[in-house]
Amino acid sequence: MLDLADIGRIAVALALGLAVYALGGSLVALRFNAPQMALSARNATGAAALAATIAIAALAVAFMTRDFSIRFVAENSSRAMPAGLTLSAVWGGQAGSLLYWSWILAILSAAATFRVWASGLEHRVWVMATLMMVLSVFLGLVTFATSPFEELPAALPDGRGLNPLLWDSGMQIHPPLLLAGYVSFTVPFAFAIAALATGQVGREWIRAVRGWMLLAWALQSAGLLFGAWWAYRVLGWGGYWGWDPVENVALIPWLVSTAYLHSAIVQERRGMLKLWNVSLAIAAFILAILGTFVVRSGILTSVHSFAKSDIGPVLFTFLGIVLLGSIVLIIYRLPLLRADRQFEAATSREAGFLFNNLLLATVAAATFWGTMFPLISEIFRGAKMAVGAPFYDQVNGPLILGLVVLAGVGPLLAWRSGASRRVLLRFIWPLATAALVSVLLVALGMRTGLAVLAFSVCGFTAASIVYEFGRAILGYRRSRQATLWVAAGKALLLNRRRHGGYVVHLGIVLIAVGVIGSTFFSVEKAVSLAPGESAFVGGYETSFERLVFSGSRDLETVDAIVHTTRNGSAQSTLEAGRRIHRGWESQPVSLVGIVTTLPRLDDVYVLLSNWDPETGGATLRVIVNPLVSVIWLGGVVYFGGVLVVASPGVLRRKAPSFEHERGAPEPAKAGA
Amino acid sequence: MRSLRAAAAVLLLLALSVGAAAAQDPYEERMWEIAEKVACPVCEGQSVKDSNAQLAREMRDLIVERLRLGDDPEAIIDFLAERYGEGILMDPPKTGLGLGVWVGPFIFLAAGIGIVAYLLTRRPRGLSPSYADEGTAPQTDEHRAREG
Repeated sequence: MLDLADIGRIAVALALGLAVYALGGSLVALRFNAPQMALSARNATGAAALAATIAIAALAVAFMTRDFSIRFVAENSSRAMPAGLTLSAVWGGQAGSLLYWSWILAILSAAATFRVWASGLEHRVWVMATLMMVLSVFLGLVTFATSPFEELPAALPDGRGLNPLLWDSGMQIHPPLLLAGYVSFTVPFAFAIAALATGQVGREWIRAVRGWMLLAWALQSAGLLFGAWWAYRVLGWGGYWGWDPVENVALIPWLVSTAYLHSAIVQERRGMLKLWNVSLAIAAFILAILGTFVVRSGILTSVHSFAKSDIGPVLFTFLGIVLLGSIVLIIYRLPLLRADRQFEAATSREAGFLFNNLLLATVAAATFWGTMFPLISEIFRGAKMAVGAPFYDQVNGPLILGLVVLAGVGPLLAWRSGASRRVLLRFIWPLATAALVSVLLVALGMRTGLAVLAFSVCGFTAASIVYEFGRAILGYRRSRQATLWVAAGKALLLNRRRHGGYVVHLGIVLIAVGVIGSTFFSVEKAVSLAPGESAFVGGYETSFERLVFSGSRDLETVDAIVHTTRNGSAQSTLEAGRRIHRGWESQPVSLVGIVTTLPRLDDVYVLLSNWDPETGGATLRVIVNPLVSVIWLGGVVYFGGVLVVASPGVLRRKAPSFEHERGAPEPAKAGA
Repeated sequence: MRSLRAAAAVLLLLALSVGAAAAQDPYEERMWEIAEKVACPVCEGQSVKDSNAQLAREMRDLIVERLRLGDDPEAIIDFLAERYGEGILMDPPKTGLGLGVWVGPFIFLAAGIGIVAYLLTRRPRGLSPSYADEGTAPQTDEHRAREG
């Protein structure tokens, strides 16, 4: 009789066998120009995806049926855990998250292989071979190094359970999205390798890879944003981003893919930056694997050290081979990677993209450098030097602000030609808005020069985007005699790629506003209060009512009931507490009390840091975080923009617009 | 490890004696600024400001105590670095090896600017004007305006 562990193990082994077969078949097909072999290999990728799905399903069923004879299930779940949370324990440990990783990769690989099948034999087989190589390595790790299906000598009555810090609905969203994001960079990498191997490094591969890069980038964005949201609501240190090594390594592929999405437009339209684009697609993949590796290996200390392992050396070797192979391929294809033409003006649209890439690449490199520096210092000094938030704030802060400026400047520039009088005139409204913002803020009493500058920059870029939308809408209205509302809808949807991009930029501006507000004007205080006492923090009167204790067999909870009010306005009540889970007494989990005030948009953020059961007194950490809610609003706008960009209309128009653009470039249609 | 525990015990006593008084304190604002620059030695990757660990709490109280004794922030940070090791500095020192982390990004930026400047000032190769091979007129601003 087969048990779940057997089914899982067999399915993983089968998936590995099929992936290796597809890899071998691809190579045979390439060597002997055998389309039948290629077809067989293609079908094997589909079968591998199916087998991987059976494996992850077996693990999920094992969790849901509380099969504590499987070590991974016993270590990461317990009977006390609710069903939804138990399911998310699949990625709660390293063996399971590696299986989840491989499963997503198997599905993406099959989807990409079947989708690319319409292209030339050599190209599609190279894509398939690259995907299967990566999949084989990861399924190999699952099979031989860290299997989630390892069985215990005897089934345990109950499991250890997930770290209580992870007992949150965020666990069901943030890790799977971020892991899927990491994995997705494999597909653009496969296309880049295929482009280099076949020598087809022109527009075609850029077009073919666009949707896949967009997918990876969007998943990574979602993973990062949900991570920030989760950290803020649950982890209880008052912030949403801490420049922690694991956050950094997740941010770097996002930065690199953002750079790619911009620079690819230049290659598509102008035939430039070919070498750069291939390098970015490969770098995004390598950095994404490195991200996975750093999270899992424990070589960098981090608040994310939930799952550690010794698969580091294997992954490191794999990365080294990939890096070396890619460099060799690029050098081999250097003659084909020359630009079709040169930049004509330093103030043209394509030059704007170049500056955007310069800043994004510098932020990525600086973040990488800071993250890796503790290791470098250990080699030279024998002791790890910490590189914390102050470094990143000072180095990346100005660079990111520069990127926000460029998001406002870029759309106003013209392709090819430099800044003419007509172009310069477009800057009037955005600049006027920026001036207005700074005057208003100073008049309202803001005396932090840097914050005034940063907010003005946001005003400039927001105004520039609104102005560009206005121009598009008015232009449409003039030419088609439509009403304003119809024109607004049509103009947005007619050029989804460009206008969706602008909506994403608006989301970024909102996020920037929230970050600036909470970075410069956050106020924090620790207060020890007896029941009924109150304290003033950042203009808010915070009064502590009493402690409430509750408990069950598995859980003890203490909550401080707190009321806040500002200048006698309506009172808000919030609860800040601690949960102590049985078996995890040394790691009490914070229950953060947050209330967002209107119309000031301050978050009053209260943590219970200590309490005295005898007197009923409490020590509260009260943080007043202005504008953090604007970050989440920006996230919503951001994904609204992503949906516009990725809406199916764009995909369907792909082929005709290609011809169209070749004939006569029309920026307003073909879009940036 | 034992010395760390001993230090923690000393700190605990210290903290207990100041703890209550430290609550509403003019020194507190300055304390958070200092605490942000020091990593909590027992937590992974969090600063003394952000951590809720016992030791971090005690270190916060210790900082307040030193401030009250009239120490300036640098002296307090040096004191903590001496006690817990240089590894606890969130902000690497801008001397010696620590300088490297600060110089790195500027080198990246300078190199990038160099490449961008080269790309932008490089003149077209050969005789063909850059748009001749495309078979279209130069994309001027007027085209764009008309598309509007």
